[in-house]
Amino acid sequence: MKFKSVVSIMLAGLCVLGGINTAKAADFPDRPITLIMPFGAGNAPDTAARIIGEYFQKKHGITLLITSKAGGSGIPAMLEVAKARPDGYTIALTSANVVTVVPQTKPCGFTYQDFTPIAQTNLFTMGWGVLASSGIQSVDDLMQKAKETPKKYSVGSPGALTAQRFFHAQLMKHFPDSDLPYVAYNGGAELVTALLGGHIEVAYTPVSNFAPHGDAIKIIAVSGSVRDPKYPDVPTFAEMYDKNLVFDSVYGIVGPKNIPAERVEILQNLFKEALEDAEVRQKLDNVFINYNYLSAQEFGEVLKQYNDFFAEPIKQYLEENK
Amino acid sequence: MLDIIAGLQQALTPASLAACFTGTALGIIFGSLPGLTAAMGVALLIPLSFGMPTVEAFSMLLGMYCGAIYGGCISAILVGTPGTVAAAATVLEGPKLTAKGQSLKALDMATWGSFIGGIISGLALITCAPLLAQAAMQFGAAEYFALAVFALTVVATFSSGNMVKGLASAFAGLFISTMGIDPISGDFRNTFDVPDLFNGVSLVPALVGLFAVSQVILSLEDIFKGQYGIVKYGEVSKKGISFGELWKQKINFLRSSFLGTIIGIIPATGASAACFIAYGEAKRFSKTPEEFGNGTLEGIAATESSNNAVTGGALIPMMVLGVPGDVLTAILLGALMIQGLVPGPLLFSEHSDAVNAIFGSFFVAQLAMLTLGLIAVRIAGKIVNVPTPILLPIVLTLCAIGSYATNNSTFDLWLMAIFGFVGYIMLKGGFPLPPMLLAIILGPIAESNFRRTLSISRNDFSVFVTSPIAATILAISLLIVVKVGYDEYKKNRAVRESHKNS
Repeated sequence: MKFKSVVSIMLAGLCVLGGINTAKAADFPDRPITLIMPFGAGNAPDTAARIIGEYFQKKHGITLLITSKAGGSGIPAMLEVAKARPDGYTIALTSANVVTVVPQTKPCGFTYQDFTPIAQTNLFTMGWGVLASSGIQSVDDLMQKAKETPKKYSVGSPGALTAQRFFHAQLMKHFPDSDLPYVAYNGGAELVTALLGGHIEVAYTPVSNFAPHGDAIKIIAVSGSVRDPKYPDVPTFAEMYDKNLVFDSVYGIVGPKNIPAERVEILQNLFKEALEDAEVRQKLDNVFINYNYLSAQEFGEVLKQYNDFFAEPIKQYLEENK
Repeated sequence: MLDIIAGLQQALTPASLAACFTGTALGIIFGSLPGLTAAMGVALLIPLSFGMPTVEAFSMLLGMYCGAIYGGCISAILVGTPGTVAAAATVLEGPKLTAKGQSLKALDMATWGSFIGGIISGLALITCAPLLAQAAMQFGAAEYFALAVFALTVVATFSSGNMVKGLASAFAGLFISTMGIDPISGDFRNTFDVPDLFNGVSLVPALVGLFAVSQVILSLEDIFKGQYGIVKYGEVSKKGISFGELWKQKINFLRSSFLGTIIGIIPATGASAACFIAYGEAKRFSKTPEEFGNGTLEGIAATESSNNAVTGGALIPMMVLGVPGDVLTAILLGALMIQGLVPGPLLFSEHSDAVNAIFGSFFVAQLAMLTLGLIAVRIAGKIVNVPTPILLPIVLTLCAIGSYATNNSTFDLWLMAIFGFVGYIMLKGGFPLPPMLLAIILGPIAESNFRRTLSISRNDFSVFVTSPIAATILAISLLIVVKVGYDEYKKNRAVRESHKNS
């Protein structure tokens, strides 16, 4: 009993000491924040993080330690974040795919509910690009060609077991007679190279990857819920076939579960401010990265939506491929 | 031509020069410390480059890039620990030369080789970039597979006289490369449910474990036996390389630089594959192939000129097509775009000033690398004075930092230790280490492209024969395998005959 009380007094003391850190939200952050990324250096999210990091440093003197932990479907990186102390000093810039689709396809020690959403930062419209010289006019045209000449057309996309693959599986249900399998590539750059070299006929990747190649690549459809403002003439899959055929590549900041609400708010506002800054926007525009801020709560809803949308196709896929 | 001179002028302003030398100096330091990779160095400089004019930004970044790829040879030669993966093949010769008291010669050869490789690839960059980039686009999955198979035949070069052990080492490496996520189906393979293995075995811990930690253990053994480490750190060698010795390597330099440039141009192959291939070819064409593996300057000339030739080669598809071949060029691509320069054919017509300035700064970076390199190796050369018992813990610390830093993972420290012991046991058993490393590097490239080819062709194997490029490369690989097999057979028969006769 006595021992217990000593311990509790010590604990209380620690809490008071610790309170210097936890209670005064105004002091947060007073040391560098580690930003873990499940992507390799040089990828679009990495560039975005570095641009935002530079802004934090210049404007607020906050150092963002950008830590790239690529590969493994993002699982090692996200496990590290999930296990980190929920004090707001360890956060991740991740895609909705990594936190919602991946945990449903394989056991990996976390679900999307093990993270505190902090802010959505980017939304990349995903599109199907073909070589302009291929003469493919539209998705219908492509599907017709793939039906008439089997074993010729393939769709490439980055990643083996990703949202794109399930999207493709769902879409192909509308075209049971077309021969158009899914081919996994390692990354967007590799995929676009294969498309430009004529080794693959269709590439499914963020449309920003197509932008640097101008007229050489024709975008035949985007998978957003609405058309991309930069490509007003390109139809969506949703308007053509099925309103459920919607998939955007969404990126945002999450932290471990149970980060104190006031810290979430501070972090959320920091990212909001950075993404509203004209200079940051200019730099992001230069590298074709869309910024699309949503608050912590809204981002949480996006994640849930994502998770629920892919639940059914993933279950089907896993059963079919047992 | 005039444009290039104008570009050089821009790259030679005091500010650009300062940026270039700073970048190169940092690069050499990053390169020579195991695990601090060129990619990390360039990524760290990126935010700094945001606010700089294009020429200065690229002087700094390219200096860092070339300096870091070069710097790897310093630790490879002096302490037998490759500073970067690109210097992995240099470890095969460097430490032996150091043991012979020729460390300065080896370092000079590496520095000049790097310079020549850089310049030759730079010439390719300014003269025929658009042409070469278009040619590189012909490489699809089938061609990549063929190239990886060709690179794997180099295993034979490392195992001559000991084919079975060499193959065992390579197959073990190939097995290790299957760990992680299946590149095509996305399933986990051979991960034993360890989350840290989901990404497969990382290259850096495997590399420093196999090549550096194993050496440390060997040296420890010697120390306990009362002898000093196997690398006998003699006196500091004062004798640099002579012009005659450099001139003797002219064909070797040309061949290796050419190979390096080509491999650099083909996206997603990289400097580590290039230096092994160049090393293999140098041995194949050498008049004294028996000296390979026992400390020959020829080997160093080949590995170092080829891995630095990759730098210029890799810039070609990056600038002409906006296609980065590896992490490094991907980061550089980002830097280019942040400067408002969108890579692609239009870049050359619309921003020819900036392009020429970048080309200019690439050449200046080679000069900076040569100057700083020749100074650095004279300072670093003194490391051989450090007694082995003091050097070992330093090497081990650097290995540990490097292994940890690549993925920020403590698991990789365990991997490094495991590979260290595996390497030690393999050395004791006479199993060559390079085949294993080569297989770990090339396995994923070969496998994923093989299966990608088949998913595109709907499991039709004929594509490997109907693609002229793939068919040619595979045929050459087959010839090499047949020839090596026949040579081995002849050698064994000769041995048997001599046994019979005696």
